[in-house]
Amino acid sequence: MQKEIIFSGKGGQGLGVMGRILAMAAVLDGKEVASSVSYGGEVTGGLSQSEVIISDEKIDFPAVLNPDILILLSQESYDKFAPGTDRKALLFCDPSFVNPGQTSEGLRILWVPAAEKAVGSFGRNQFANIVMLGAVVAITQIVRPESVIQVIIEEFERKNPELNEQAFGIGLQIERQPCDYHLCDSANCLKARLRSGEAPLS
Amino acid sequence: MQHRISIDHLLCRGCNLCLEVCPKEIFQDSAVIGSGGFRLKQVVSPEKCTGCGLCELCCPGAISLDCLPDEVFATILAGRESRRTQSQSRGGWKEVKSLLQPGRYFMTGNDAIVEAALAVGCRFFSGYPITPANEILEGMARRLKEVGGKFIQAEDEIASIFMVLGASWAGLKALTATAGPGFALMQEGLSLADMAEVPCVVINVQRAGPSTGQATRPAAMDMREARYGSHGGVERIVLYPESVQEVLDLTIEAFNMAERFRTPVILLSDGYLSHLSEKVELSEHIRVYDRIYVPGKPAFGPTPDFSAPSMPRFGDGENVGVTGSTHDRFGKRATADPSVQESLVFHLDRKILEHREELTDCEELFLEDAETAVVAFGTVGRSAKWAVKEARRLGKPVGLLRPRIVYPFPSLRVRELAGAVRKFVVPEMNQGQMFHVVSEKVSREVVSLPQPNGQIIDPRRILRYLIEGVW
Repeated sequence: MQKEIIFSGKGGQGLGVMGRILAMAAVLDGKEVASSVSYGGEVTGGLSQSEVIISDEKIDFPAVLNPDILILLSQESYDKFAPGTDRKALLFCDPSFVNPGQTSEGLRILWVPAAEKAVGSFGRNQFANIVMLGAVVAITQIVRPESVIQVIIEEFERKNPELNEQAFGIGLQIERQPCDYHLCDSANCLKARLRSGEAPLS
Repeated sequence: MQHRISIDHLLCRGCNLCLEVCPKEIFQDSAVIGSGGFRLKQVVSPEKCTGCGLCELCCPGAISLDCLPDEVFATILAGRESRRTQSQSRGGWKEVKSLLQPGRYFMTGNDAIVEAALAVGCRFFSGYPITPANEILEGMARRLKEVGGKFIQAEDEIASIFMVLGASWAGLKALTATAGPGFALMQEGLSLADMAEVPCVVINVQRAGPSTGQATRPAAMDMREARYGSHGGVERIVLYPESVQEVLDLTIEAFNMAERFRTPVILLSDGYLSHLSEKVELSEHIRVYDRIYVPGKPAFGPTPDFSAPSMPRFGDGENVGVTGSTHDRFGKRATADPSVQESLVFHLDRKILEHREELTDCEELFLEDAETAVVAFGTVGRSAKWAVKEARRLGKPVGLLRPRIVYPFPSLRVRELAGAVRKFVVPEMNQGQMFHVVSEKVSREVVSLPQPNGQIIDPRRILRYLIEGVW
């Protein structure tokens, strides 16, 4: 199994960190991993992205060709990636950054109010990326949540591991919470269908 | 034993440097005043001459110290042997423990170079910051301090490479890292490293050029420069890995080759590979080669068996001159002797070419029954591998040849392949540099797939070529 993941948004939202944590957690899980971050002076504040490929076998080509999972944290990144995306892919969008009114039909979008939850719990949206990561890990089960927590504690020990761990926990719970978010069509809830196995993960 | 010092009075400029530098004060002003209006120099006590060659080195052209015949060498050797009875031979293969805990790591291409260099025993780095090689310099600055090495940020790349050569003669394994523009500046030092047989490793993280080009974008535009960039153009060992694991392994290899063959080794990387993070496995023990030193043995080629000569370090007590000029086996300049020049240049080439078989390291995929062989290097090899596997799935008889050691070019293997395949295809992140190298080795059709746009090659583009023949 090979999963290709793209994190995209504005430079400064912590996309690189999300990618790095996910990739390192996958290494702990014993998977093959390749990851790269957009590089260059022009990315600060502009469109930035981070790619991760997680595979059971050796990875031939290390860059993402057909993303299976996209985490889109700005309108610009949504506009860039959503049109060309495979219909089977899962899109994670934060309604604080991507306008739900402008999304195209037929895409499998999961709305995760990460920034809202982060502001609610910590008073600032600094941990929104880790909340989002929690939701992604819970829903896709691409890595073990314990591995992510281990990475947060060991590799990011000087960067507020307690709060990050807490933020990750909040993200994990989004999967289990009843989907009462106003964007979700409750009769046809994607999260519920993914959870029950009615809808395939990819 | 007497050395023949001759002074050409027509060329003497009266600078008195010979009087200044001779430690035995052999030279003196004579009573004769020459046509230049100064006193001509004379040799007063030739029996005191030790043959150190300082007079010849400093003189602007008038003094020549005759190159010693072989029987005189024997006398010198005998004398040196006795002086160095207390020093000991050293060098050769050994196994060392890895500095980091063995296990799985997640690191970038640049970090892998740092860790591999330290593991193999590199204790000197001198460099000048340049994108996309910066993290190597930063990593070395941080890590060398922890292991007791020396780090210097030089004023430019020319200084960097020469410091590396100096450190190497001081007995350290030395590294520098740069990108295309800096690599061009280093060519002068690399040429000296060729001539003076100085083991060192130079990392060239290639970016899109020419000149400053697109500094943050990957390319493979120095594929020819790495081999042919220096004046003199003797054989070079050039490596190009495809993954972070291979970066780690080949950096260790690069140091071992540099020490074994006493030559600069170039490790190519590129703007993509340098920032790609991948899982790597670190083993507990690493096989390391240290340069051979045998007291009293000549420090330079030619050697009878084309092996690397013994390499002393400063402080060993050897009388060795290190020079970029043509020199005899003890490093004494011989800038007018055609036979010394020729045998030295052949030695520099052959000490690598004689090990050609050992220096062939290719990844091969589906070549047994392939009609088309894709030849790719480094990062492009990843694109090519993806494309070749997909094309096979679609029933196309294609195969992949990916030399990890780019130079010496695996001509024998490529020629052997030419008997079996119809066509070679060379995709590259440049205008077709290795295409020329492949074409000159085989008489088959060779197709160049150039992409000099500062992007890694989309494997679907190669696949499309393999299926539809469109680039």
